[in-house]
Amino acid sequence: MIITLIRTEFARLTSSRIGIAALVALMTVPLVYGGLYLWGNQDPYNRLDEVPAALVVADTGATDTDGNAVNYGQDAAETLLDGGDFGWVEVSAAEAKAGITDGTYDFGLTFPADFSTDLVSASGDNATKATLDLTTSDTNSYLSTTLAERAAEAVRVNIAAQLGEEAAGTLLGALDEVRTGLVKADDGAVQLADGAASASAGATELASGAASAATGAASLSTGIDSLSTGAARLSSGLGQLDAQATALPTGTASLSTGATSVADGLTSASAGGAALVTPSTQAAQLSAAVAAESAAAFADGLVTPEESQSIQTKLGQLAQLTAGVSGGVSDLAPGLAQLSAGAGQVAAGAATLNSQAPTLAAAVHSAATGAGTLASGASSAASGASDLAAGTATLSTGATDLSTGIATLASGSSELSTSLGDAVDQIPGSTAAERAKAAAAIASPVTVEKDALTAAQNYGGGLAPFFISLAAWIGIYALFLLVRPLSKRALTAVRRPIRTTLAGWLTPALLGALQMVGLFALVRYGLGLEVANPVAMVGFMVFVSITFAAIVLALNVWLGSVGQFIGLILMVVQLVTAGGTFPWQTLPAPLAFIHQALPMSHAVDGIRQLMYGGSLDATLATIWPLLAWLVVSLLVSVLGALKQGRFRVLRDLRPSPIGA
Amino acid sequence: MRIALESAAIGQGVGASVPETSFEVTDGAPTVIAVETAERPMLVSLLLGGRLRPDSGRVTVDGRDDLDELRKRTALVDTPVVAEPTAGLGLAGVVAEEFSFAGLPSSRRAVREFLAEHDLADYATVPMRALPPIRRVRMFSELALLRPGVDALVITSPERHGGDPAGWYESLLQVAERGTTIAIVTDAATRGILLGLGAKDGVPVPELLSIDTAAPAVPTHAISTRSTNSVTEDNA
Repeated sequence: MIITLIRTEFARLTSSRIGIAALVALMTVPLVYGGLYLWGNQDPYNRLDEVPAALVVADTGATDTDGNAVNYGQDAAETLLDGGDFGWVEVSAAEAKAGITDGTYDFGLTFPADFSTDLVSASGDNATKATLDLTTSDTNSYLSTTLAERAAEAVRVNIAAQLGEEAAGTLLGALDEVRTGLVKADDGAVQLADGAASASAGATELASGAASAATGAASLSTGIDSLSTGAARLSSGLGQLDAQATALPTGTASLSTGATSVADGLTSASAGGAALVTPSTQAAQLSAAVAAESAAAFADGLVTPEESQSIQTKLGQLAQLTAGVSGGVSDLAPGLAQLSAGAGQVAAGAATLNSQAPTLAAAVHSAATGAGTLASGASSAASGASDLAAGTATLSTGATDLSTGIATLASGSSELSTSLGDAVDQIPGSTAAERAKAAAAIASPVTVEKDALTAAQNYGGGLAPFFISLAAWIGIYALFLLVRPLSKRALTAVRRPIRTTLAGWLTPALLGALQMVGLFALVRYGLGLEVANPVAMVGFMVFVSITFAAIVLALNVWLGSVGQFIGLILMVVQLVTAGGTFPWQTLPAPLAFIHQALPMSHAVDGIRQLMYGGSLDATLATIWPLLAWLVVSLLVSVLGALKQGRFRVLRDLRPSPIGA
Repeated sequence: MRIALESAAIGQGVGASVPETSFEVTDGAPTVIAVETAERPMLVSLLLGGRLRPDSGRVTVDGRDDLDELRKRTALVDTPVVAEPTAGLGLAGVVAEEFSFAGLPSSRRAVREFLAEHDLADYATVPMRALPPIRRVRMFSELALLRPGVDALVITSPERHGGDPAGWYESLLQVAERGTTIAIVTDAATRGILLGLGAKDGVPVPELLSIDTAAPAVPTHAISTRSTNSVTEDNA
């Protein structure tokens, strides 16, 4: 029944020449739409040289730091004219303005008079930014303004890179010289550090020696001080001695005389002593006679006992005395004899002494004089030793300071050496070639490495998924202007809603598939757009088309001409939300939601995957929503057929207010 | 079988799509129902075929409110909009389509055999619009009866193809004699002719066919269309 119904529908569509013409015309709608659009926009960027653009070079040039005359504006302009990215025409400022205003030129780029001057100023003290004037007018085309901005930016980047490379080259050269100097300085610092270390050791020794010297000098000073004092005393003693010694000869003479007198006297004394012995013996005999008379007196009682006693005692004492004198005299006698002899010797000695005394006196005088000289010399020495002690103390302090200072110097120079070494490490050594390379890298430090996982061939290739999807919808929409959604005869005759629906769907689906194959052939072979996965792409396009057919069928089944009209509305909505041009994420939230929901978005995504060579998963991810639309739409259509197969409603039976 | 409309109507008042109407169709000689306006033959046919629900009143089959059964047992023949084939289609294609409706193989051979059997072989490639009305009515009636379970036919406006009603009535009478219930929904002029040929009158009510009910029942040509307005105005 399905095939018969489809055949009948085809027979109906082709039952007249005008019918065939209409079918052919509608079948070509998507081809014309998609094909023409993609042809027109296939590669507009390659035809930008057709876009007229004014180029004004007012740059008066400048002199760079090396004294060369430069004109960056003129150079850049020549590059642009040679490059032919746009239809550049070099004109005057006035012509450019007039031309952009009246549309002769889409936009204009001006290198102002001080362009080079400003650029050169970058290496001077008073750097001024150079300006590139871009004049656009959106009345000439909004997109050409966007393109102009890109062109101006490209010029800016090129000039900036060129100048930056020169500046960086100079800088790196200077830096290399600095590095050479630093290497030398480092060597010097190493030597300095070594020397300072030796000096430090010496200074330490010096300090310790100076300290010993100071101590010694202090001891010396003290000793000499004592010496001086002693010498002074010696001198003064000798002075006194000298003064006394002067009288010595006289004294010794007197002594000699006296000694002689003593000797004489002693001789006399000795004789006198000997003369005493007899009187003393007589005195003893007299005393004994007195004692016998005193005893007879007592016995006569002439004297009282007490008086007797006293006489007796006194007579005893006298006896004793006399005995003593007698004894002493006898004892004295030898002594005196000896004394006399001695005195004689003394007298002789004194005489000798007396003869020697003048010599002694003279000698003492000499000594006194010498001691005075010694004392004065010792005093001078003491003062000198004191100065020496003070000086060596100062020396010691200074030597210590010197030692400390030299130690600091040593550590400092070591640090200097290390730092210089580090600094040298920080500045890598480079050859002129390496510096040139580095300068280029500094001038343009970032380049974009394009790693395109998939790539559209050109602008046309980029738009193709969108326009193919749109063409698929338009094609189906157009087909339903001719194709009957459901066979009314079938609905009336039999209750077979599924078959009736499938027949109603397959007719436009087959025609839609044909459209897609035609469109694919046109896009791939007519326009030469590259397709990564052609077989799958044709299949997917057909799938998209038959899905759209089911959707428009469901709308027609339930809403008739109104549904067909809604198909048109849906196309307009999807035109906006499918994300064919801008990324769909840029859509406002409600439209972004619609993007996710409506089928064309997924159709666009799927064709992108297959055309540019995306992943299978991503392609499948676009198939599921479309499949859901397809199945749901068919079910809805079947339900519609089921309902209409039971009871018709007047609205379906009467001509629609929309269309015919 | 007996199909009855009992005060069935679609819409209300004078502007109703189908004014309230009651009649019945029974076995035997075809029943003729005369209706007015261009649309009503289709609507009344759909009501008779159980394919349109009356807004008021009811449609019964053998006295039962079973529109599903009615739908299964009736076939609408050549009814404008819902069953009429495209005028430009070739005869063979339409026959094939009818075969598929009947669940029969719709091969070219089967079609060819059918056409030969019904003396239509010469018309195989002729567009529908060129088929003479007598053959047309007969062919569609025969094709409709091929569908399983169908034992009643509703022939809608056969007069619109012109010609002599007696010609196609003859073939319908033959079909009816085979035990098929036949209703012919047509205009008043044709009704008159068919009544004269022995068709049963479906007893149209004044709303369906604006005949002055006060006037005596008259055969065919006595129908006064002039009275239409007055009746309508009276009712209003």
